[in-house]
Amino acid sequence: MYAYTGKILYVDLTTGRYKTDTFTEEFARAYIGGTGFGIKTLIDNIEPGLDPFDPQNPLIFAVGATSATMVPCTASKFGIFAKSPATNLLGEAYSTGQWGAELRMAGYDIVVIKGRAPKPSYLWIDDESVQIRNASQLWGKTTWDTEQLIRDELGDQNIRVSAIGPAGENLVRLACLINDHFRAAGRTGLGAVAGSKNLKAVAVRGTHDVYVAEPEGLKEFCKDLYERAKGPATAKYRTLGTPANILIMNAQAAMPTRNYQSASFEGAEKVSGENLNEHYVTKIQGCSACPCRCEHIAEVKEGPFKNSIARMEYEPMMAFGPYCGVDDMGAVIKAKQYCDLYGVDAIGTGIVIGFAMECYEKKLISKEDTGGLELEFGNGAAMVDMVRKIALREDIGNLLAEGVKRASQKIGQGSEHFAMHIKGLEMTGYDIRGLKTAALGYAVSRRGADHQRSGSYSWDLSGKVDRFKAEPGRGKLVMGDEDLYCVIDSMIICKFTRTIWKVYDDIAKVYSLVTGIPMTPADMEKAGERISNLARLFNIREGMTREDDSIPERIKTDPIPSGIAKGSVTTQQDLDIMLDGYYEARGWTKAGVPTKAKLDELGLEAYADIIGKE
Amino acid sequence: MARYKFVSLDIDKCVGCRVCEYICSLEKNKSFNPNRSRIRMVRIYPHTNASLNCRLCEDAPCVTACPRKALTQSEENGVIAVNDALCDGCGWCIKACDFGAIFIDSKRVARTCDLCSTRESGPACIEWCPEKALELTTTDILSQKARLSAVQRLVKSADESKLGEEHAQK
Amino acid sequence: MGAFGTDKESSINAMVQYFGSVRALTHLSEEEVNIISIHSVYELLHRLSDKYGEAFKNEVFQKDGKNLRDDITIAINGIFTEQTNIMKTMMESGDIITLFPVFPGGG
Repeated sequence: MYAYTGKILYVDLTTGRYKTDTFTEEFARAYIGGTGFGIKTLIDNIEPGLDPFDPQNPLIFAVGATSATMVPCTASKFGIFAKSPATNLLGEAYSTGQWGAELRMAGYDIVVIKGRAPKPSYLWIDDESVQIRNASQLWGKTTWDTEQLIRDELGDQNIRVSAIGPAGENLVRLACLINDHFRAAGRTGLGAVAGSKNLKAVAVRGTHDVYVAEPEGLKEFCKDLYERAKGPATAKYRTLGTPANILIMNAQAAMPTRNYQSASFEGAEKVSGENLNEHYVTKIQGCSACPCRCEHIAEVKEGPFKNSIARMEYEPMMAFGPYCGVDDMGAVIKAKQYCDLYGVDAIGTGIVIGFAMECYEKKLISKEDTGGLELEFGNGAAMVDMVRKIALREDIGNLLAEGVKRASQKIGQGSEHFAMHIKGLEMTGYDIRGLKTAALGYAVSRRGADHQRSGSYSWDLSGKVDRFKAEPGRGKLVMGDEDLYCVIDSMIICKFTRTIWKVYDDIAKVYSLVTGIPMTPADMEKAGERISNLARLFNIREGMTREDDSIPERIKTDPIPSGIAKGSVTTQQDLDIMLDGYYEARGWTKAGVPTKAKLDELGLEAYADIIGKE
Repeated sequence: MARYKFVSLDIDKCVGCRVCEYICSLEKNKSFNPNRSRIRMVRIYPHTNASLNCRLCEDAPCVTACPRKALTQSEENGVIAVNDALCDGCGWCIKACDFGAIFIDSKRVARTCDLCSTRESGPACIEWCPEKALELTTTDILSQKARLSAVQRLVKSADESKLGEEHAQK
Repeated sequence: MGAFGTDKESSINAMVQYFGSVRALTHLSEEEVNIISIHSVYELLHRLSDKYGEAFKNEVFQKDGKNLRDDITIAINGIFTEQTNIMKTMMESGDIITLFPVFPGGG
């Protein structure tokens, strides 16, 4: 096989043993890499109904088909998979930077980690050598310190490290894994899964050559792709970047503010991308093999949050800015940095703190609960402190660390009405009361509330559909988006370069040039559909039903109070219309279950028992 | 000779994308492996990025250091050549180089930038760098640019202080 | 020509609002534009491209210079307008035209 190493590494932390196995070209062709590899490996290596903190929950790392090659914006991307402690369903998160390429060069496309180490440990993969090393001296350290200490201990500054911070150690359900300082496999609490295994980090160093099937053909094609990637299609990521969305979403009354109490924020200018670029961004740098370069590094030069430094994008700016009513950019950047250092998902943590602020203002929690913090909307300093408290499970941080769903169940007193989550995963930065296609995309997303599994807000915000109207036809649009994103997340290609690819032609072409495996555009599209369905089967096996394809209560009952989306809600009826359309487009039953015919069509017959058929 | 042309980086433009490493290894080894690239990117957090390669030093120290005389420097273009038969991968040249620009390849022989001598359009890294941060230049030209830049700064600040004087006089 | 800059006496003006990457090029969040000789929104976008140059044009139009990019939205008086309608929509005095680049991905 070209590009693919064909190797899977299995590690048992309980026994300290490891073994390698191989996968076939057939497997590669059916599941591509990244998402496909991760979900397939997970569903085949876990018993249903398992507690996510059980040692037998596999923590899986998978790289994409084009990992460690010059295909634009792909070299270092990787995915992490496990059963999620946040949702009890499919957990998946993606990251980039430098780590992914290193794993492929070490000789593995998939790593499966099971068991629980008897004491704090880290996994050290050094080409063929695999060691489980003592991490007692690392336990309690931030993710940044962990990386440096491992590099110093092993004497190699080129070692790539994916690590948990104190949050993962404390089994915070929002915990993540950080690599290369500014990059996170953020959502669904996979950091807590690692923590439950006493696994502090996975360190990797690889020195093997990666061969592609047609190097000349690939270079030729990449010339064109690179031109496109440096051109107008991606220019906006290189200048303002996604932070530009703060003012855009604000003007469109689509930006969740104060825990979705409104959809625009009077302080938006102060926490805007324009302000960030002018006064805080010190460098825009790039990931491995990326002609685009969009990593906006922001630093706070003065004030109470001086010397804070973090990579900023729209979502964390929304989560710590408008979502918490905070208009102090210094506090927003500091909060984001704490998330990186302590190892928690920036989006989810912002949402959970916004929820807590509403509870505080409604007097459902007190100053005693917050450890003395005046946790009101707009109090940036309190917000920053609360990030720490959540990571360390201090005061009410201990409850918030369970995620907004569980926290609201405990607090009760009507707080469940404004706990903004779907399937137990916190909402993200699009107000789906006024974005109907996005509402469907969020409701059906396999990992919970998520804009990244379909990007369906694009339809609403581009004027191609009526954003305020629910129609059955939206189902087909979301399906198309989801299947495409499955392919993109399996190759793995950066979504910021999404528009340079002629879908599916260019993707199939690059796949064949790199791997030498024949792949038509239709095959590729089918692979995307296959992976979407496999993910659905996993969730159904874990007990998910149509009822879980839902939207938060507030979305259904509290209209957007102002702006051009004033008066918008998305009702259950709206959702049902769109859900029916989506299930039909997918060839599923009205209950949202894939049919036997669909399974056969996609080569998933082996999973027929999940849908209860022979 | 100050006229030797070598691949030089404008450090302000480097974003640490490593495309140069990927294309160099493909050109020289027909595989992707940044560890075997003749140009190497260094990132120091939070955002210092620089790609380094052989600068064709005058009386190259690596050549002098080699105990087996396996390295020679071309009179014509200053490029360091490695005699694979003589090189035993001892790594003494690495110690001699101030830039980390020479390394021992996985085949246990020394390797360094050869300006893509067999490539018609010249160094691949220059062609592919998305930021146009690399160029083929000489130390003479670099000094010239430094002087030009210095004078421009001087003139600019002179102009500005002149404005300041006029302003004060009003 | 008198097509740009406001003409308070004739007061046939529209307000153009810029966001994101187009704002980064115009360095303005909004401006009043005299539309006495500009009839459709489509024409307006072309005139703005003439004023702000190639980079602006590339943010709004595809390489052919004729069709709008897929990832830019034009709102007229707060209502998103389907791209095909942009070609035809006639402007009136007091109209507000907003240019929104759309970011696939979202970060």
